[in-house]
Amino acid sequence: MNRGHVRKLRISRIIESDTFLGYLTLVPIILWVMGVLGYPLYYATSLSLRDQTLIGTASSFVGFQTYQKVLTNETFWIALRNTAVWTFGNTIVQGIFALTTALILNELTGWFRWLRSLFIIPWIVPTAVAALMWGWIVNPSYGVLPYFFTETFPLFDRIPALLGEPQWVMLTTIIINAWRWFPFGSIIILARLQDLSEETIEAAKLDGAGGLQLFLYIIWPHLQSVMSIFFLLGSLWAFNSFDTLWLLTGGGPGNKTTTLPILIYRFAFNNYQMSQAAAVSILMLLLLGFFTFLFFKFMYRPD
Amino acid sequence: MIRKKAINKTIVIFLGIIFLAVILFPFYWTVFSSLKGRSDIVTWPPKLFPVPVTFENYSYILDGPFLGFLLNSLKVSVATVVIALILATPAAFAIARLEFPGQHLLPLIALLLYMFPTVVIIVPIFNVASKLGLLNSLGVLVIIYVALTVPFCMWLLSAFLKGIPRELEEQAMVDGASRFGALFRITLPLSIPGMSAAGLFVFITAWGEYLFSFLLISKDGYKTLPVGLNYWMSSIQILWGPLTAASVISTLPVLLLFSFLGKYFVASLSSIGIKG
Repeated sequence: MNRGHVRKLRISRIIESDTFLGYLTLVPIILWVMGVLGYPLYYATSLSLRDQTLIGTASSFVGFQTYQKVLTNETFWIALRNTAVWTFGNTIVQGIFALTTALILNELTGWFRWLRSLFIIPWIVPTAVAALMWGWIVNPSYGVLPYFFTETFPLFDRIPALLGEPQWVMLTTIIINAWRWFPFGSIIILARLQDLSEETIEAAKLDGAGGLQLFLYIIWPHLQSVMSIFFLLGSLWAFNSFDTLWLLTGGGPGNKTTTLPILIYRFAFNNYQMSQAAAVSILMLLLLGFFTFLFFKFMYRPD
Repeated sequence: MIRKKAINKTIVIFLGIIFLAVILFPFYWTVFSSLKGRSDIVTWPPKLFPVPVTFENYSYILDGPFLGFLLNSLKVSVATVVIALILATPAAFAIARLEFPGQHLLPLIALLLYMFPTVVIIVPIFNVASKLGLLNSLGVLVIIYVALTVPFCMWLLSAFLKGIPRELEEQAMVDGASRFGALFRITLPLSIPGMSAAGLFVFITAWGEYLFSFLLISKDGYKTLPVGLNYWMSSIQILWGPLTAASVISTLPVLLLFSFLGKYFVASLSSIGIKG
């Protein structure tokens, strides 16, 4: 009786301990995420070591042969280069958009404050809607943008098919994607800007700092940590992005906007090469892990 | 000096408004296009204003399968929000209020999971779903969307909860409430704005998700809105009128929710910026 009581006490102490309760709340989340993301990753790895074509057909273990096939495929290298251009371009354009808007929004005080929330709208619309709207606007035969630049402000004789011509398609899709994603950056940069005290700025002004000096020596150093986070998140986001390009161009014209995510989809569901799609997936994950590691090692400077 | 300041301020506001107009132009153009008649929409030069205004595109899509797509999207998004919040809330409380090993790594893990490249699992997900007979079902979308949103949802919520002073609970415990009683009666009601922000994030993600919906659903009766929009596009022609009308209605629910809950959402996200 007495011993049982002691045991009960001990059990209740464990149950009420922070560690037990903390992990208990995490168990369902971990199980759920492992089931939906973790198991498929294992599945993809094993698939990449086989020679599966259509689902339901026979396949056998072939080791790294599938990787060899992928790595000697010219399209893979084209997709890798496109991914690099797309990711780099997006990071830069998003960064410029986000920083500019944050600096402007920071000055909008008083009555103009409510304008701030309007800047976020591009980020919350469904990608499919955004892609449709832009496809409609830049449409070469009856889009409003070509009209604007050839008739209202006749800067050009002819506006090219911005999504159909190889030399323009990358730039166009990068701007459209950056348009959709930059508000996230504006929000976090603006928050950081508002953390900068008025006194610091006033003091710098009293010392004779002009606009540019103020930006270079006071504002930019203050923003560096948040900018580096935004560069990380923005580049990961662009690297992984499938839907914007798929809906705008489907990877074309030719292979001009075929990035790794689009290549994975094409291998799997257009060519029915499941193992090759899985191999590209694993390669993509490795690249992603490598760059994230480099970021935390060399670029990330928390305050 | 003061005069110069006022002029600078006016320039900034002017710039801000022009920039805003450029950013929001696609919305303006889509709304106006959706109000044009069939003969006015595809013209050269494009008509800048819908004269005469007509709602024929809206009545056209309502006669089609549009309401079905809308209902599917609503079902999936609401179910995802409810499940994600049920899973994320206890964990967020634990991160904010308890001390356990590994807890400081969780926000970073959650942020990285938010950036997970979903495209790398499309082949396994498709295989498993087809083996289990889960193609063309809304439930499988909910299962996937919960996994995609719950880590970041937990992160948003815990960032908010950390901002609620612990002393309030301690006071209630001094007054005789139990630890859980204090959480339930004091902190939970105060965390409603944070839950709204996290819920809004989940809703926006589920509402707009394209890849898995496109991958796993092929029957019109189960399509969600982002994929359903294809209904008005064929290789022969694109029905821009109905499409723009469907786009406008697809955007309304997120816009509406955002106009009510957006400020909490922005406040929660801001903590990424402030903490650097």
